[in-house]
Parts: sequence; structure tokens; C-alpha cells
Amino acid sequence: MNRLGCLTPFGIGAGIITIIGLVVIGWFSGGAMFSPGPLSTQQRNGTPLGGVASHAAIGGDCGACHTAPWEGRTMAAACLACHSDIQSQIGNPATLHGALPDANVCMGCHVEHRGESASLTDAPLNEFPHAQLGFSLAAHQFTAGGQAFACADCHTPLNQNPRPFNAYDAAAVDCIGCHTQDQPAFMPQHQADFGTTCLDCHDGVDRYRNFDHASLRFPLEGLHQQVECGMCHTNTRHPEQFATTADTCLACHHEDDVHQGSYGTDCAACHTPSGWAQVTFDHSRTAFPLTGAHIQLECAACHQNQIYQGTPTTCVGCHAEPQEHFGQFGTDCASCHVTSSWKNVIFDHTFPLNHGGEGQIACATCHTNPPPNQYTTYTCYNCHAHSEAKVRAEHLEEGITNYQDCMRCHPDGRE
Amino acid sequence: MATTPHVDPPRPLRQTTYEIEISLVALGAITGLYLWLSRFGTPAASGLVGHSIGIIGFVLMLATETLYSLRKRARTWTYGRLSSWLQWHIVSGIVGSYMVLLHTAWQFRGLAGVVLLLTVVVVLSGVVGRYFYTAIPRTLDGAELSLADLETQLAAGAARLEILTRTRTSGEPAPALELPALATPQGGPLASVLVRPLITWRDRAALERAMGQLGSQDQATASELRRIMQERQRLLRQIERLDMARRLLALWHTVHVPLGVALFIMAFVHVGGAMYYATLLRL
Repeated sequence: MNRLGCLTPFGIGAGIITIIGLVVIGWFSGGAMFSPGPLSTQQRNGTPLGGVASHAAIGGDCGACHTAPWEGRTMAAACLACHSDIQSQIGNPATLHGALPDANVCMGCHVEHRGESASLTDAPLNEFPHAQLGFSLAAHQFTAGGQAFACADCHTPLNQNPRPFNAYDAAAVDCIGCHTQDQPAFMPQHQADFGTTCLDCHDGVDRYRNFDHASLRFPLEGLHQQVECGMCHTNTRHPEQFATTADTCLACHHEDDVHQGSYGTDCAACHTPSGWAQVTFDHSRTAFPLTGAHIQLECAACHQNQIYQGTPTTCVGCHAEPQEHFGQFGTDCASCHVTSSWKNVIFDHTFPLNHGGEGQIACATCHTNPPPNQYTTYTCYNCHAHSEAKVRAEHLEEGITNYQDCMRCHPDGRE
Repeated sequence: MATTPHVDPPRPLRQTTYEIEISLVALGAITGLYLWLSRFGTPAASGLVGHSIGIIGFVLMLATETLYSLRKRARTWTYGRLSSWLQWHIVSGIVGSYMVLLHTAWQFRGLAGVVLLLTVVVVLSGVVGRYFYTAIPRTLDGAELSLADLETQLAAGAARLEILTRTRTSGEPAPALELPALATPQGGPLASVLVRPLITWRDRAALERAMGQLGSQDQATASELRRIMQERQRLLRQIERLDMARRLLALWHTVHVPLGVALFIMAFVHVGGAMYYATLLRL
């Protein structure tokens, strides 16, 4: 066989020149000629790691990251030698890198040589156990716009330069920004009620969606439905604090107690959530049951200044004797009147008014005293045969000494 | 006058090759597969797909550079016709270099970028070489014909042509045969080699004119006349450009071989670097 066609003088010369050229270039540029692309210039808050501000500063020193195949050290070990904070994360399952099943293989997620401004992370994070970090993505599958959630929707964009020291720290997540756009009417008040540290209460499972207060021991009724959450759940910053919120009226309304504690703490005995004015008090349980026209009255008609105890139960406590009585009937209104109306008089003159057989006699015939006791007193004396001396003598003769109250024995005026 | 039955002389079998057709089919299939694999993004050069494409392409290019050359120089082992080897040499050269192009993931940097650039140059150089190669007449096995071989074939063709023009089945007198003169192209043999298709096109037109001057012929005779006159034109042109074609092919070899050597040295270094920095890397 002839020698190979490439072994011509020119072929051999080209081969020698090529080898020399590669050696020279390799000598001066290190392994740069094997680089598939520029290294990233991304910095992390300007903090140098391993003596360089970015991977790009490593330059042609390929061995800084690429360990030789025959070395015991892996490339991940070279990464973690500089990124010591990541090294410390890997041991903690509650951290980003600790939650990754293969965190020790850095190149599984992080890629280089894709350009100075290219992202260093190209991770298939669909299976990332986000819930392990205390926040499930169950309710964050799609944005309000219907797009699939990307890491950068909540966290620092991967290509931000410089990147924060811990770009995935939960404290750096801006929940409020997105949710205020989504729920502009709700969020400001919610933020005012419960603060801005959303993750103290929310773990992403979205257990507050379709929340029904009625399922709890304190259903919201009446005016309570209009009350902002924070008015009852004051300073509530953790889920367990909701469960310990006091459910007594006085816990929230002690400043509203116009009774100043005089009626105890069982507000619901009289009031409903529909409003303080909507009183359900059972007046019949008191010493003064409401009857007749009293039922229609406003409470304040009798109980001024929200004072209920000590309210007089006599008629004259509220009803001054009317002018038309001329002060003649006394203050025992109930002896003639009922509560349905003043006009419904129940007075019955049991003594015959035609006493004597000469027609109705004048009131003053018997009621001789001057007002105000004119009609509550009477006298049978001074009339035809009823002189006091005669009446006395006749009754004493019969052995009756208590003869002054004639009506007791002579209610109809007869013997 | 008794007429003798017309019998065609035995014609040499021509080895038809399909390197362009095979290459186009292979390129189409590879392109389709590559597009399917690219549906989630361009396959990275360092990925499974990218690496596989690169390795297969490099092996094909290596085969291109070695197998045909070995077969050409083999004295005892002569499996297969040389033209078949050349066919697969061309196919593997085109397909292999195309796969190497796909392997780059359209990133042309560093040594890998130089390797790709050199690959393109060598492939284009190969096309030029193929052009010069086909300008030199060869046997069925691909061996070059000498000037004497060509002149012998020319003389045989001329004798056959003489007989044909005298054979008239109708008994009418044969017209004087005026063979078309071959116009020497401007630029001489160099132009004859470089603008070969244009000259062939002109010669075909001259042949048609000559056939018209011969008057009516029976179909078999006309066909045979056309074939022999075409052969005569081809032989004359080959004789005209034989020396220049050989010199150009030698010159091409002088350029192509160093380019190929440089390409493969760089490619091997690139493979070594890729294995050191990526394939054998302990993650």
C-alpha cells in the first residue's frame, strides 16, 4: 500500500503548524479555546466569592471549576468551595438547596458558558418540593392573568445583576404587590388588619379561600358582617391567634357599654347583632311588665340616659296628675285608669248616687273635704238624719264602737 | 446489393453513482429528526442529542478522510469499485459535516468554531476537487485514462462513424460527412476545465447542427450517429483538457490535504478537550 494521502509534505507541514499553533494559543489563553461560551458576569450584591466578583473574572482558569477526571474532587465540590452559603443550605431541608433531592449536583440546575448576561440557572423546578419550605404552590399554579407561574413572578429574576445574597428568601417575596393588583379593594384593609408578613399566616394551601365564618363558633350576623376582620382579630399575626380571639361581647364592646357595667356582661340578654337599638329585653320579667300603651314606647321615654335601674314604677313617676283632675283624684291612677289609654276609665261608684230617693245627689254632698283628697274621702254626716251625735249614740247602743267608716257596713246606703 | 444486419458494438457498462441523491435524502431525514428533537429548544452541543450528532458526524468525516484514501492506495485489497467508494466518500463527507454543523447548536466559538469553519472550507474544497476529478477520464474502476487510451477510443469511434455514414438502407448516395469543429474556448485548456458545463452546452448545439446536415436517417442509425459523435466530442474535449485537469487536481490536492490535516488535528484536540472538560468531568 502506498503511504496515506495526507502524508504529503504540505500535509505534514500543515499538521506541524496546526499543532504548534494550538500549543501556543493554549499556552497563552489557558483553556479558553475550549470554552463553549463566555462566563457570566452576574454578581451577587457585589460580594466576591472565592476572590472573584463573578464567574467571568475567573477567565481562562478552567481548572478553578473543572476538576480533572482523575481527581477525587468533584466539580460540585469546587462550586461549594466558593459558595459556602449553599453548602450550609444543603444540610437543611427547610432551605432551597436543602429541599432539592440532588443538590450536590450543581450542574443539574446551574449552567455556564451561555453568555455574560445569560441566566446561570436552568432548572426543571416543576417538581420542586416548594411546600417543604413552608409554602405550597398549590394555589399558585396560574397567575391572575392565567399564565403559568414562574419563579421570577415571586422571587428575584434569575438574570438580575447583581442578585441578592439569598434571592429566594421568603422575606423578599412581594406578595402584596401582586395581590393588591388582583384584589385592590380587599388588600389595603387586609394589610392594615393583619400586617405585611403574609407568610406568617398563609402557607400557600389557600385555606382561606371560600372561608365561611359561619362554620366557626362565632357566626357573623347582623352588623358583624360589615365589620373589618381586624376590628375583632386585633394584632393577629398567626393562624392560631384567630382561634383564641375572644368571643364575648364585652371583649370588643366594653367601650360601647353605656350601662357602665350595671347590667353585667351578658349583652345578648337584651341586644342582638342587628344593632344596639334592636333590644330584645323581656320587660315582663321585671317588676313593671309593659302593657297597653307602654308597649309602644321607646325605652328612652322612661329610661333617660340609658339608666334602667331605679326607674320609678308609679304612674306619677312619669305621668303628672292631669289638670282636669284639679288635684282631686290623688296619685293612685290605676284605681281608675288602665295602661291601654287614659280614656279607658275603670272607676265604678259602688255607692248609689240616687241615695235618698231624690235623684242623683251632688258629689259635694258626701265628698266634703277640699282637694286633693276630696274624692278619696266622704262623710255621711250632716245629711238628713245622719248627725254625728245621733249616729254615735245609735251604734254605741248596739255595742258598735267602730262606726266612723260607714261604707264598711252600709255599702249601698241601707240599714 | 445485399444489406448486412445492423449490430451495435458492445458498449462499456457505466457505473452510475447516486451520491447527491443519497446525500439529499440523508440530509432531509437528519433535518427532520433534528427539528423534532429541537421542539423544546435547540439541542445543546454538550447534551445527549448534541453529543451524539457530533460523534456520529465526526466518525463519518473521519471515514470520509480515511477509507477512500486507503482503498485508493490498497494494492491487494480491492473490495468494491473505486467509484462506489468515492460515492460513499462524498455522502459521508456531506452528511458528516452537516451533522457536525448541527452539533454546534449554532454557537461558533473558540476551537470548536474554528473546527466548524475549517469543516465548511474542506467540504467546499471537496466539491471543487470533485469537479476537477470528473474532468479526468477514468475507467469503470476509477483509474485514470491516459492520452493514448483516449486517442485509441477516438480512432475507434471515427471508424465506426465512417461506416455508419456510408450505410444507407434506401440506396441513395451518402452525403459528405462534415464533422463539427470543436471551438477552442478563450482561455485555453484552463477555461476548458473551469467552464466545462458551458462548453458542453455549446458542443451539444454544434452536434445538433451537424446532425441536421446529415439529412434523414433511420432512427437507429441517427441514434447511433448521435452517440458516436457525442463520444467524439467528449473525447476531444477530454484530450484538450486532460493535462490541465491533472495539474489542477494536483494543485487542489496540495491545498485540500493540508486543510484536511489541520481540520482533523483540531477536531481531535476539540474532542480531547470536550472529553476532559465535560464528558469525563466528575459532577
